[in-house]
Amino acid sequence: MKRLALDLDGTLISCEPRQSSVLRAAAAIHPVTVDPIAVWSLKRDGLNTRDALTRSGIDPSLAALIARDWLRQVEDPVWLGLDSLLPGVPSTLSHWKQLGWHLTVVTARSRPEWVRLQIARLGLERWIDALEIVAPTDAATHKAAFLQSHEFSGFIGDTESDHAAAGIAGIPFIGVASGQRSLQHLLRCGIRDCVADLAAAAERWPTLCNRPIPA
Amino acid sequence: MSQQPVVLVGAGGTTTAFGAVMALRRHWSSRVRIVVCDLNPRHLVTTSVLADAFEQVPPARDPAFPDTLLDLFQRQRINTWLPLLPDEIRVARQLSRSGQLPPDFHLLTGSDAAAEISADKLLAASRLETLGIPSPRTAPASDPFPAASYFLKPRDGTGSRGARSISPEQLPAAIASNPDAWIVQEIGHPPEITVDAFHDPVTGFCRALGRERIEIKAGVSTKARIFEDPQLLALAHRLGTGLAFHGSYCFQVMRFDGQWCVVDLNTRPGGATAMCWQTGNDFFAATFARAWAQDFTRFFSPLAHDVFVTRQYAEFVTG
Repeated sequence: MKRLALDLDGTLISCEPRQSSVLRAAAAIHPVTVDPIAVWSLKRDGLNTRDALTRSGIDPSLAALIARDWLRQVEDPVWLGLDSLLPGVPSTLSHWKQLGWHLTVVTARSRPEWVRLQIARLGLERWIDALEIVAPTDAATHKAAFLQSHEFSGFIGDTESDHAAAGIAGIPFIGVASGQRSLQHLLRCGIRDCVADLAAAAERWPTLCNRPIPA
Repeated sequence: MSQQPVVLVGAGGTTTAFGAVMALRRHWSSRVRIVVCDLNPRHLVTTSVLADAFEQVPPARDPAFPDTLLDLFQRQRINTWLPLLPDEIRVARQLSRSGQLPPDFHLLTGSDAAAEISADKLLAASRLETLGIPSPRTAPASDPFPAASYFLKPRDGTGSRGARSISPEQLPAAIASNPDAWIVQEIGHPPEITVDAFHDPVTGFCRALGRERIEIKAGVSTKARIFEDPQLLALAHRLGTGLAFHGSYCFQVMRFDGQWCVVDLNTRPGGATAMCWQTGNDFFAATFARAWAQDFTRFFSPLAHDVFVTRQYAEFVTG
């Protein structure tokens, strides 16, 4: 069976609206003005939430507080409602299914109980054959262990952590710049095969894989 | 639109406002600047946590409300306004008619006619009758028609507040303090269905979903069955064209002699309209997209089957 593994946040679904909105909410109770656009840009450049806040000019101790509250809230069900399918995802997944690919979502979430509901709400169920949720702490190791045990042809994700997981598992990887990291950052991390989004990944795939997927 | 959208969402403390702002953040995120206003202070308004700015304003019936808003429009450079309460909508239309709104301003209230009837249920009944749209017999409560029982409603009511079944014997006492402020309607056969609708008069596009309110708290659905029905879609289209609705609106129907009749009408989305978004139908987002000349059809998708949606309270630290 042809098996392909796909990351969820930033690869199939948006992540910026939720991350920025939760940042607004977490910062709202503090006497500080946070610029979500600047913070997101810094995060795309490789920083975590706390460091991005600090780099954008927020006092480090306050940044730590806001980042802590952000992390506590970011997977609350009400905020998951801000996620939507990224452009081109339905047509790309549909195309892969027509070609007989078995598609598995491999995602790192601290609140796994809400992921299935979210996948159903977004209509991803019609294309996704399996779902694997791993703990966000040391996500690369957890994802790698799962990828190794299921003979995937490749993995598509939006972070250097996803790239590391594919590397440990010894399978091809394509990085997409539609989520957490920018194209420049992914390239800086040494990820050779980086593209804009999932549709572009489908075009790149034949050059990486013995079992080509026509664009 | 070429300039950055700067949206004012009124009645910020309502569930409807929260649904609208969630839709804005979901689809336009930081590309839109959101200003929320409410008569309560910021720390009592959940939606404020998602806003770029918050403004405490007087109640919409306060004489100072229009000038407060005009000042707010200028200071915050508002170019899109979604008023939600009937009084707020009435002020919005007055400002529009008198040419006081800034140029290239998007006022999301439907037509003047729609705004008028949304604030006056007696007028709404009369307009529906004129348009030939099925509606229950309606009269001023001070001059009721003969019936075994009535459904009594405030003439300018919203969110089912004050509405109840009443006998002819109970009626005089119930309306004694202000007889002109109430209407009576025939009572239809349950269930009462809310219809969330969207109409674009330019293309004729119309979308409608029925929402059976299985459980209601404080006038807003907390458990609902969402479904498609060609008769309700046809009714939504007739209302949309007849009353020049554009964007999202909602209305309630009940059956009278086996026929759907419109028992209530709102020129805006409702507090539970956001439940439809869970089914892939985002009426709020479509309304904003239409105003900004963007593709609104992408916010709708057909239902494969009836969908049950429930709601739970969520907690927010607001101050």
